[in-house]
Amino acid sequence: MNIIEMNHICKYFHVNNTQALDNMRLSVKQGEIHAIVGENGAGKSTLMKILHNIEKCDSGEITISGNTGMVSQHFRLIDELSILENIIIGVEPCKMGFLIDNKQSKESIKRILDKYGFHLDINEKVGNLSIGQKQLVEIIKIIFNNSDILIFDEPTSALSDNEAHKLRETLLSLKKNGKTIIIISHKIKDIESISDRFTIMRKGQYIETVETKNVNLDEISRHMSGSDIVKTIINTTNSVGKVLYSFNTKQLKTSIHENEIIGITGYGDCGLHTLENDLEEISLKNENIGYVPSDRLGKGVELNSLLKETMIAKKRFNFSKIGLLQTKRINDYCNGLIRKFNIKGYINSITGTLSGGNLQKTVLARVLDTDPEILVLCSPTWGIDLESSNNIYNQIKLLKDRNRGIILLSSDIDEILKLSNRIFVMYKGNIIKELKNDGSASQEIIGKFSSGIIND
Amino acid sequence: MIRLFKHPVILILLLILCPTTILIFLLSNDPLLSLTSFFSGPFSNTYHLGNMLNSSSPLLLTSLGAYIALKSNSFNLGGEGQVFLGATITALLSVYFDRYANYGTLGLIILIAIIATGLITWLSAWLDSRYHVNSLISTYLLSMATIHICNYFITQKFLKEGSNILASDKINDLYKLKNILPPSTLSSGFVIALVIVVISSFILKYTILGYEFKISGRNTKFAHSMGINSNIYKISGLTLSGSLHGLAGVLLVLGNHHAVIVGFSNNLGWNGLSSALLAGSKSIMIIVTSLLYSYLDSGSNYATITSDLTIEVSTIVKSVLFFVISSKIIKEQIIYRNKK
Amino acid sequence: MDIFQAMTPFLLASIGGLYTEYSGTTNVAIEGYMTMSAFLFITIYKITGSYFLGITLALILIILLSFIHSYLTVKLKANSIITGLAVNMGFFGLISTIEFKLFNTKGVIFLERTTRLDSSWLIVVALILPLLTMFIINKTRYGLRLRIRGISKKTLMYSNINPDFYRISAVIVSGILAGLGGIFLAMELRSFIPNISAGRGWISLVIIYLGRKHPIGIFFGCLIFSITQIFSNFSQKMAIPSDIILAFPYILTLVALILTSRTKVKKDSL
Repeated sequence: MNIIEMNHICKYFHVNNTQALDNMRLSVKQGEIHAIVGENGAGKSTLMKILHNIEKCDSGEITISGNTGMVSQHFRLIDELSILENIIIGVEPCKMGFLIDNKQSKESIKRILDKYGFHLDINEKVGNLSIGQKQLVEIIKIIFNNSDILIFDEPTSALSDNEAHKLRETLLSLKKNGKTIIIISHKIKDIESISDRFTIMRKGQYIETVETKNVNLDEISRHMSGSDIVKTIINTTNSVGKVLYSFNTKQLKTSIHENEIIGITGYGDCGLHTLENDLEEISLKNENIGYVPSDRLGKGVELNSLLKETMIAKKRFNFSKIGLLQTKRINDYCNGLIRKFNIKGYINSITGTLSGGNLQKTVLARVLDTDPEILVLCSPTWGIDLESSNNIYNQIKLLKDRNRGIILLSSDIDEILKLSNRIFVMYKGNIIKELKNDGSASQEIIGKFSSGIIND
Repeated sequence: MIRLFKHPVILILLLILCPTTILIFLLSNDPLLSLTSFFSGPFSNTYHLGNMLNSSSPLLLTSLGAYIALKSNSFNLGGEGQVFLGATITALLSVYFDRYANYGTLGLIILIAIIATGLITWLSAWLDSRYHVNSLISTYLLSMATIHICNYFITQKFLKEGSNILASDKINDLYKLKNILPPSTLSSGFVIALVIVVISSFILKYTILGYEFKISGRNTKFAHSMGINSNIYKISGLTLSGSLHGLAGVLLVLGNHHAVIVGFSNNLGWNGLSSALLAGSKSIMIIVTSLLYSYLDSGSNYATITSDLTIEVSTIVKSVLFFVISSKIIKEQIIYRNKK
Repeated sequence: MDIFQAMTPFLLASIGGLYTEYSGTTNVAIEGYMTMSAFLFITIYKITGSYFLGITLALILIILLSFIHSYLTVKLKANSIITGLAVNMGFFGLISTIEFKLFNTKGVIFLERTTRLDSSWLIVVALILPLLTMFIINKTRYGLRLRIRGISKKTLMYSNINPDFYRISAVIVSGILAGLGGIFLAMELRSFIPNISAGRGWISLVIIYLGRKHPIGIFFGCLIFSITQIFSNFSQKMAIPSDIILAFPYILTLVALILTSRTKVKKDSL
């Protein structure tokens, strides 16, 4: 029996002129775990928001038999409030219709905790919890809401391997208790280990729905982007050249060489962010160090300015004569960048109207055009579709081949393993391990170090 | 046809026409007379036209001042006080040093007025960056304090005797700006204000200074990452905003009232802020919006004389305009869609 | 009693403003609401001669106006500071226009000298307001959701609660309370004068910040301002010029803001 039936769903976003959903459909069976896969920007989150009635669709029919509850990628919990208060939002048990009944809430939450075997002190402030615990609170919240259909948007992306494993078990036990689960995920592992069926989306359109056990999972990624991508392969065991720069920050004390990529990784609040800030300060003082920020929408581009204004920001003094901006030279230069880096946009359009992939291309174009000796790259492919990611890897490869040094900060271990010569793992604010990427390093080993386990 | 109605200029005109007409029909016993005098009054002869332009000259400067504060990402809610301080300093110093009246003294007086008002807003900006005291609140507080202190000096030390309004003595004839369109009051101050707005717009649009200023105001993080010291731009933006309001006060004395009058700032601070908001992203539009505001004021002024309307009609219309223009929806739906 | 009398309008207006602060915006139109309701109360009282009708009709109109104000602000996604300023401006225009139309004056509207208006109940309301607000904010469903609205709109949306309701209702509550403050002032004076609130609305905003957005903090903020006000009335009889005294609370406020935020910065950096 189908618990959800969505047909002919269309949604258009005026702000960036995109057709997010184009005649999309979806049917989900009662009591199954249904995965939704597709590249970034395929419209998965939008579809789920429409299902959960947060966004309105322009046209289409939706039939749902049951309540929905959604755990979004960025948690919607309030740090200042207790776990209890966060859980009851929306369905607060009340005396006389307006007085919050804490006693009854506590009892109901206890019942849920016991039923699923969760352990939490519900009077604790949410701000003190780890990411995994916060997610647990979100899950309890939607169970408390009496939802029959639980929607998870990229639930494992912020979790450590251990936490992700626990979450998958939780989802299976929810299924056992009769809940229907929809999960958006990039990770093949999520789809393979728990889903019953999955639906593939591409550019807002329905591609197909298949039984997980019947397909070869290596094909999924090909299905997702719609074409076979030639994967960029970077040699991580080459011999490096002479020293380019010696870093000596509070956390990072090492030298970067020509023809070398150093990857630095870790989970959650491990100190990558502080390190990034330190590296940014160094890049500001040193012209030979280029910096691609992880906060690309805030620091990398200026969303409310024209694209050309964003592009010339760093090199602005090259385009001024006695303080006057040389409009023609600026236009020529920016048009040149757009062609060279294949950015889909116009020099006089507002930067914020570009898509995520093109924004990242803009940042790279701006930085790479100064031809820095050393490049600091922070989460370069986060939230970017496979094809664009591959383009970015290609740029990195070209840069490396020209004897440049690259520092890569990323919490994506796959990416780190694919690109780096040396790997640094961070835990609780410090680098606790340095590894050579010569085949001995693997997902599991790095995952262990990231969780603070170093006993070899 | 529907597209035409969605054009921003048409929309603004509709927003002025509709409430005005409704108000006039509600309030006036002879709506047709009031309506015609409201809309055509300011253009009926050179006298009214000149007066309208003259009243717009200090407004041009306050609009520019408010605009610059907005572009540096702060609100200057103290415009009223800054205009009044500029006017008070100019009038009182002119009267006090009347013995030394020459252009050198005038220059010095103007300089003092500009620096004093600049200092007040600089204080707000500094408090914001040093102690996180919201400049929105501190500019207002300082402005209110300034108004009362200025009132004290005017009424206790420099009050003109035998007058029925609280005002200072008139300034020296030498200082009065040249009249360029008799019989109206239009003075050369209008040209000065216009030139200042044009030059500032040019700097904002075509120079590296303007570029860095705009980027700093829009996004501090990005500016910092690009090696722009956005804090300096933020502080100087608010300081400059104060100075421009002070200069508007100078112009008000030299070109319009020739004295400082208690409680008579013509709402220049608030009107400047709303006309700057109306101007949106293009600074040169300040000229259009300031003229529009003066037109509304002169229209209701003229209608007050010739019909039974009250002068506040323009205030109500301006507030409606102000309200709608701040709408993000309208910007997204109309302006972005038109670009497409 | 004098001190409570001076505190009442501040307390009403600033606690009202606190509700909009909880909902995540600042209502800069408090000054306008105070003046408007004082005007409405005196006008309706003068026309109908009924104390009860004056208060109820004035409040109903204030509710209507604040609903239009907040509804449009939310639905048009407008900047709430700008619309607040617009409301202030529009209210002053409306008041003068209607006043001129009805009474042929733009100045003071007097009630008959024999009129006695009982305003003591408003003092009581004002004094219990901080405690009542603490109760509402901490113990009721409305309070919980209002606080959440101020922190994260999306949290409410994901729980399928209409976030706009909380913002609109907060502005209406602040309109009503500021309106009661204005009515109180009009009762005390037994007349309406165009500048009746004399900056009290703005000062109430400042008190909210001074009291760190907490009802008890606000209570003490109001106390400080009332004391300065009484002091200034008192010293007006002495040799200090009134203009200088009038400037004093603004400067004092600024100093207080600097002192409180300085400690705040220190706290965060520790």
